[in-house]
Amino acid sequence: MAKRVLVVDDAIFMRMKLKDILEKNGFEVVAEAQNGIEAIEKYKAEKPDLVTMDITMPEMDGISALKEIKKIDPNAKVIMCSAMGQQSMVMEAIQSGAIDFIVKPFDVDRVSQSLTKI
Amino acid sequence: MDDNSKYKELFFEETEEYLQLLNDNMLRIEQDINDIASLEEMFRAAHSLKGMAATMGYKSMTDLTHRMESLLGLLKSGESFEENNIINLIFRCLDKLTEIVEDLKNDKDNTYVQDIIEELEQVISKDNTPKNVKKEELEDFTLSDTDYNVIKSAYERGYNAYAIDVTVDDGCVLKGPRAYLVINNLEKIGDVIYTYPDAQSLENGEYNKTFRLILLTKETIEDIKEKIENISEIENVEIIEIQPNYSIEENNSKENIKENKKVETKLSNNTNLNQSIRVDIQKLDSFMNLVSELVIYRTRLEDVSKRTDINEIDEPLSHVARITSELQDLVLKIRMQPVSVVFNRFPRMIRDLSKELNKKINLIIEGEETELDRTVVSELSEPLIHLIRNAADHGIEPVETRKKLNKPEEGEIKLNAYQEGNRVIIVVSDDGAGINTQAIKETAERRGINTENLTEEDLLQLIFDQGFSTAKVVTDVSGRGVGMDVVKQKISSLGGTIEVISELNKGTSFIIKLPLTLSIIQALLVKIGGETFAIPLGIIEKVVKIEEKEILKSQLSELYMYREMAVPVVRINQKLGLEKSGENQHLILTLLGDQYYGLLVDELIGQQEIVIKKLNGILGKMKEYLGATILGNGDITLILDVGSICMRL
Repeated sequence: MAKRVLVVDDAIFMRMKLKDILEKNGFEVVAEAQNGIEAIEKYKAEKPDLVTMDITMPEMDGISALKEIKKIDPNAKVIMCSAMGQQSMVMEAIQSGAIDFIVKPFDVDRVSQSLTKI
Repeated sequence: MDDNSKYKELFFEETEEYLQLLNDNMLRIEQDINDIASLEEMFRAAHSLKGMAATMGYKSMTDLTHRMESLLGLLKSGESFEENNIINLIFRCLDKLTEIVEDLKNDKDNTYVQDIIEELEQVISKDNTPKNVKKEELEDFTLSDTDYNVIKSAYERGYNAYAIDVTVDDGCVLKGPRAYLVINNLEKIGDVIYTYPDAQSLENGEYNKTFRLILLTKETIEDIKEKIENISEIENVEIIEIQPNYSIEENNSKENIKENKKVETKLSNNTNLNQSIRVDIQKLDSFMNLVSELVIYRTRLEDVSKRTDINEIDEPLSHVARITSELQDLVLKIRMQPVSVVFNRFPRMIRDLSKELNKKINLIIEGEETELDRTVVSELSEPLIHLIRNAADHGIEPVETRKKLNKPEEGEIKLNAYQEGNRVIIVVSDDGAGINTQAIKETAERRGINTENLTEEDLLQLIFDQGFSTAKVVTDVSGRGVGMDVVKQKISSLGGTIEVISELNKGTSFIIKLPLTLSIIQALLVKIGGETFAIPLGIIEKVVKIEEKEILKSQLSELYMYREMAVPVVRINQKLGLEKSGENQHLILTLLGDQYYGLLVDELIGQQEIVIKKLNGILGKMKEYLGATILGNGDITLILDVGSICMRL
C-alpha cells in the first residue's frame, strides 16, 4: 500500500512541487498544512506514515511542530525540509527526532532517493 | 531539469503576494527599524521566495533573495547598520526583484543583478566573515591509548568496535547536519567514541567528503550499514572491525560528542483559521458564463410557460428562478475583489515619489475593503497610478511653497473608496495647489481653442482632452501631456465616469464612478437598420422622439439642440455600415464624461436585463461592440460600445 504523507510548507508552490515528486514515487499525499499548528492538527487527524516538514513557517515553525508531533506519536517519521544556511536548525530538528532532511532547492532524484530509504 | 512550467502561474501568483508582503513590511520598518515582527515576516518571505526561485531554477532571483535573506537575518538578530542606507538598499532589492519577476514572466532569466548582489555582499560581509572550510584529506588515524582502553573494556562487555568511513554525495549542501544525522543515528545503537575530524568541525561541515568515526555497538556490520544508508545523500559507507590487540589499564571515561545548539523557537497563538482555496480565474469566468446562460434559458422557459399556460410548470419554475438568481448573486460575489488589491501598492509609490520629488506627502487610504468586480479592479490600477502621480507631482507643492501659504509642511493625498447604490465611487484628492484654470486657458488658446465663453468648470474639463498638459516642466513623474485623456478613456471603457473638482491653492479631487459589475447590466434594446442592438442603460440620459428636420446641419457635423446645448448627432447605422430603416426615429442622449452625444436609432424595443458575453476572435477586436447577449427568445444581440463609437466621431 502506498505510504501516506503529510506535506507541510507555507508556500503553496513548494507543496505542489513536493506533492508532485511524492506522487511520482508512489506515495499518497493525504494532507497538506501551511504552518506548524495546522501540521499538528492534520497529523492527529490523518496519522500519516510520513511527514515532510518545512522549517521556516509563520505561526509555528517546523521544529516546534516536529517536537509536538513527536510528543503525540514518538514513532512519527518526519523529514525536514531546509534551505542552505539553516545548519543549526537542522541539528536541532535531528535532536528532536527528525529522521532525515532534504535541502532546497529540491532535486527530484535526491528527494526520491531520500524518500525510498524510509 | 524537470518540468516546472505547469507551476509557473502559481509561482508568479505567490511570488507577487510575497513581494507585496515584503513591501508592506518594509514600509513599517522604515518607520521603526526595530520592528522585529515585521523583520521576521520579511525574513520568512525572502526565505520562501528563495526556495521557490531555486526550485524553478531561476538563478538571479535565487541569488538575490539568498542575500536578502542573509541581510534580513542579520537585521533581525539586532546587527546594527547605517539605517538609511540599509533601508534604501532593501527597497532597491525589492524593485530589482519586481524587475526580475517581470523578466521571468517573459521567459528571460538574465536580469542583471551583479551590482546589487555585490553591494549586499559588502554589507553582509562586514559582519559575517565567511568561514574557510578546512581542506584536509582524510588521513590514517591513530587512536590514543585512552581510546583503545575504552574499546577494550567495551569489548569485554560484549561490544564490538568498528571504524566507519562515511562518504557523502558530491552535491551534499548541508554537510554538517548530514554528518550529525549519521552520528545521531549511530548513537541509537551504540556509542560513537571518536570522530575525525572532531565533532565540532563535523557539525560545521568542515570536512571534504569523507569523515571517519569509531562506533561501539552490539549490532552487526550489516545493521550499522543499513542504519547509515537509510540516510539520504550518503554515497558510500565502509566499515572495518577493530580488534583490541593490546591491553591497557581500565578507563571508564566515555566522551559524549553531543553539543547542542539551542535555537529559539516562537509560537504565536493567533492561528488564522480562515479557509480559502485558490481558483483559476478562467474557471471562474466560465462559471460566470454558465450561470449567465442558465439565466437566459430560465427567462426563455418563463416565456414559454407564460404563453402555453401550463400550471404544472409554474411552481418548479419559480424555484428554478429563485435558485438561479441566488447562483447569479453568488458568482458575482465570488468575482468581487477588494480595491485594496490595487490600493496596496500606493504607500510604496508615495514613499518613492516623495523622495524623488523631495516633498513631504502623507497618503491616507480609506475604504480599501470596498469590493468591485475583479475585471474592474485589475483595470483600475493604471488610471489610479496616473492620478496619484499627478497629485504628487503637480498637486502637492514643495515644502517651501507650502510654508509660505501657511499650509502644513506635509501634503496630503487621500484615496477613498465607497459603495453608492450599484456604483462604487473612488475619490483621489490632494490638498495641493489645485488646477490653475488660467494656465489651462492660455494653453488652450495657444492650441487654437476658443475659450471665450467657457466657465471655470468648462476649462477644468479640458484637462481630459488629448495631449493637454499645463505642466511647464516635464518631470520624470508626470506631465508629458499624455495621460488624463487616457485615464478618462480607461474609466469610460469600464463603464464609469470621471469628474474633477479643483480650487486654486486648496486642492484637487478626481471623482471616479464605476459600476459594481460589468457582467449583468440593464440595457435598452433598439433597432438599427433592421438589426437589434443593446445599449447599456447606465449611460443613457434621455430618449427623445425626433423628426429628421430637427437635426441641424453644420459644416462638419449634424447637431441637435438639447437644453440649449448643441449635441452632436451620431448616425449609428452609418457607423456600422447599415441601411436606414423605419421612420420612427429616436435620439438617445448619452452623457460621456461631460459631453452629450445623440445616437440616432430607428426604433425602440424595450428595456431588459442582459448578461454581457465577451466576443472572441475577430469579433472581439471590433471596438464598436462591448459584447453580445442572448435574449429571452434565444436571439443573439450585439451590445454597442457607445463610448468608443462616439469617441471616433
